[in-house]
Amino acid sequence: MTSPPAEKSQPIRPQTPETGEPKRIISTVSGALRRNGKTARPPAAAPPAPAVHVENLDAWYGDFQVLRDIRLDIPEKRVTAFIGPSGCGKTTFLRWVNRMNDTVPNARAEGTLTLHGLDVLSRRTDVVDLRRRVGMVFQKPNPFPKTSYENVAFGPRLHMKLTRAELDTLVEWSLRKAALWNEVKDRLKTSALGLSGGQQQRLCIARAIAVGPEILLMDEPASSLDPRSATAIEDLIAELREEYTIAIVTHSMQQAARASDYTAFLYEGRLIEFGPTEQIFTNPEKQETENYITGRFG
Amino acid sequence: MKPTVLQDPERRASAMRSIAGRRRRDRAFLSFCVATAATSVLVLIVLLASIVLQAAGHATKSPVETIVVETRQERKYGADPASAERVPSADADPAALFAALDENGDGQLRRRELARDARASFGRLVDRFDRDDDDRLSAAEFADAADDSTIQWMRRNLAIFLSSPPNPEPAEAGIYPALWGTVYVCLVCALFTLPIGVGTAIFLEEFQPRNRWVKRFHAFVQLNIANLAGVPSVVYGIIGVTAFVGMFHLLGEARKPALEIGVEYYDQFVTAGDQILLVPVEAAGSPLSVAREGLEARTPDGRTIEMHALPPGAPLPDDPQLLARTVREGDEGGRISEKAWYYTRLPFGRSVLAGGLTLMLVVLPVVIIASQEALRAVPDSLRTGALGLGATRWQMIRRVTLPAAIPGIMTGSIIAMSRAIGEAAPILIISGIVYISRVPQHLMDDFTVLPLQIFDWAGRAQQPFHELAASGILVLLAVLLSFNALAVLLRHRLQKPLS
Repeated sequence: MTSPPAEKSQPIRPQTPETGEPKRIISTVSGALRRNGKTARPPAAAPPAPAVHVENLDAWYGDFQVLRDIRLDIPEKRVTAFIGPSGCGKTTFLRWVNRMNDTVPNARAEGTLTLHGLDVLSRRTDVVDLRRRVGMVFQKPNPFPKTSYENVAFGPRLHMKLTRAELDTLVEWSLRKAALWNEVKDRLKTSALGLSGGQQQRLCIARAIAVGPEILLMDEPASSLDPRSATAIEDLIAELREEYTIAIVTHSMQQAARASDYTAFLYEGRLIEFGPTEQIFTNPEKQETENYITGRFG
Repeated sequence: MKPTVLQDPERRASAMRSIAGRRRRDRAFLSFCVATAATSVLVLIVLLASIVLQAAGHATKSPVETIVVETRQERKYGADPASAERVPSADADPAALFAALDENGDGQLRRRELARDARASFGRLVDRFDRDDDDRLSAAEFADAADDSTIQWMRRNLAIFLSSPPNPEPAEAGIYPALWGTVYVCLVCALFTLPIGVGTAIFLEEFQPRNRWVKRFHAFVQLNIANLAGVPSVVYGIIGVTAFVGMFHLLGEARKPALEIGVEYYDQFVTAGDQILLVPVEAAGSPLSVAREGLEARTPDGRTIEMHALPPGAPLPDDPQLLARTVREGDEGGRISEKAWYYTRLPFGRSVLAGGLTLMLVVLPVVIIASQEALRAVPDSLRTGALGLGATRWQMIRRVTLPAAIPGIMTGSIIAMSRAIGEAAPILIISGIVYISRVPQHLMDDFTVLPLQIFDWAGRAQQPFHELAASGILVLLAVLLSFNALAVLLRHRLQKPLS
C-alpha cells in the first residue's frame, strides 16, 4: 500500500484517543492493558513534542528495501513500542536512529530522521556523539567480559575524563536507576558474566544510561529472558519513562500493551498504524493491525 | 540524586573528551594497521622479486666459469709454498700455546682447569680404593662414592656445556654463544613480529573496507597471508639474505656499509712501554695512520697523550713516562672499532638484526592467522555493545576486542615464537657461522643459534660430537618447553577476569 502524496508531507502524529466506549475490545491483550492501568499515564491531551522526527524514510540492505516511506514522531519522555512480524523492519528502524547500521556493509537510508533537530542520517553527523545521545540495549544481554563496575564505567570513560569519586557516584546512580544496585553492590569487582541473564540485561541498561542519553532504544530487551526477569525489565521501563524517551521493539503483544504509551505497527517495511497504545490495541483503524494483534497472522 | 557530571553542564563540558581528538587517534590507529598490512604484503613482493632475480642470474650465466680463490695464506705470504712454511702452526708447541692462554687470563683457561679438576676427583677416588689394604671399602660404598663423583661430573660438565663457546675438543665445547644468540634473535623477532602481526590481523578483521581500492587491497593481503603461511622456511632464508643481509646490493657491502650509527674507529699502536694508544679515524675505509711525532692519541682509559716517535734504530729513552708514549716512526696502526650496543649499519650484513627479521618473515603469517582467529572468536555482540555506547573503532578495539582476544593472540604468538626458536634453515643461510666464541654484543654482531650449533655437531664424524648434539637438543627442548609453559601461564592469567 502506497500512501497518497498528500499524506506524505504530514508525518503521522499519535492521535488522542476518542473519549467514550471503545468500539471493540480485543480479548487477548485487554487484560494486559487493564493491569497496566496504574502505571501507564494517560496520553496527554496534545501529543508531546517529538524527540525523533521521521519523514519519508526508506532503507535498504543492498538492493533489498527494508523500510518504505516511514513517517512518524516518537514523542518525548514516553515509551513507544514497535510491533510487527519478523522481518518487517522494526529493528532496522531502531538501528538507523543511532546509525548502528553503519557497521553493516551495503546498508543505506534516505529520507529525514532528526533527533531533537539533529540530522541523524547526514554524513556530517558524528556517530560517536550521536550514540552518546542515543543509548541502545540489545536483544541478547552483552555485558563486556569485565567487572560489573567496569561495564557501567565503560561508556562514561569513553566520552569523559572523570575523577574516581565522580565515576563511583555515576556508577552507583546508574545501577540504582537500573534497579540493580542492591543486587550487585557487594560484587562490583567481580565479573559481570557471573550475573544472571536478567541481571546482565539490567546491567546493560545501566551501562546505556550511564552516559546520559536522551533516548533509549531497546531491541527486544526481554525476549531472551525468563518471564520473571522480563517483568523486572518492564517495571524498569515503567520507571525510566519519567526521564527518558524510550523506543522498544517487541514481539510480545502483551509487553507492548503493558509497557508502552504509543505503539507503531510495521508490516513489510511500511508503517501501518501509529497511535496511543490503548487505541491500537482496542480500536485499531486498519484491518491488518487488528489481524496481527489478534494473532490471525504474523 | 543525579550525578553532577550528568546534571551540571559546566562540569560535563569540562569533562568531555574532544571528539576530534578521539577521531584523530582512531585515524592514526587505522593508518598504523594499514601500514603493518602493507609491510606484510611487501614481504611477498620482496620474496617473489628476489627469488626471480636470483634465479634469472643463474639462468643467464655462461655454463663454465673458473673461479680463482685466493687463500688467506696466499694473500699474506704470496703463492710461494716455501714462504707458506713460515705460517705459525697451532700444534708447534702445545706448552707455548697453553702459556699463551694463561697469559690471556680469560675464561677459557678456567674451564680447562675445571675439566682437569673433574678428572682429578675421579683419580682421588681410585687412589682411595687402592690404598685400602684390608678391602673394607665394599663394592656398594665404592658405587656410592662413584655416584657422588658422577653427579659432580655431571654438574661440572653441565656448567662447562652451558658456559663455554664451541671448541674442537668435545669435552670443552659448549653452547653459551648459541644459547644467547637464540635469545637475542628471538627477542628481535618478537619485537618486530608482534606489532606487525597483530596490526595486520586487526586491519583484516576489524576494519571493513568500503572503498573499492581498500577492498581489493584487503582481499589481496588476506589471500597472500594464507599463501605465505605455507612457504618453506628455507625460502625465507634466501629472502633474508637478499633483503636484509645484502639489501639488494643497493647500499654497498656489509664491510663497507653505506650508513653507520654508533661506531668509532681507531688505529691502535702499542708503545715501547707496552701502553696502548688509540688514534681516532674518520671512517672504516680511510688509510691507516702512520706514527709520527706529536700525533694526538688516546689511552683506553680516556687520557689524551701526544705520541713520541723515534726513528727506526734510535735508542729508547729511559724515562718510563716517555717510554709509555714512544713508538717507532713510520709504524702503521692496527684498525680497531668500538661499537655501542645500538650500533646499526645499512646493509645489515650477517647480523642478529637480519636473523631476527628473517625469522619474522617465517612466523609472521602464523602470528597473523592466529591473531585473526582470536579476533574472530570475539563475539560481535561485544563490538556492537561498545559501538552502541559511542566508542570509536580504536576505543572499541583497545578496550573490548583486544582484551578479549589477547589470550588467543598470546598463545598463537608464543607457539609461533617456539617455531622461530627451532628454525635452522633460514639462519643457516643468514648466519652460516657456528664457531662464534662470544655472545652478540650489538644488533649488528655475528651470531649463531642453538639449532645451527646442533646441526653442526650432528654432522661431524666423531661420536663425542653426536653426544654434544644430543645435549644441545636437550637444552633447545628446555627452552622450547619453558616458552610453551609461559604461553600456558599467560593464557591462564589473562583469561581469569573473563570467566
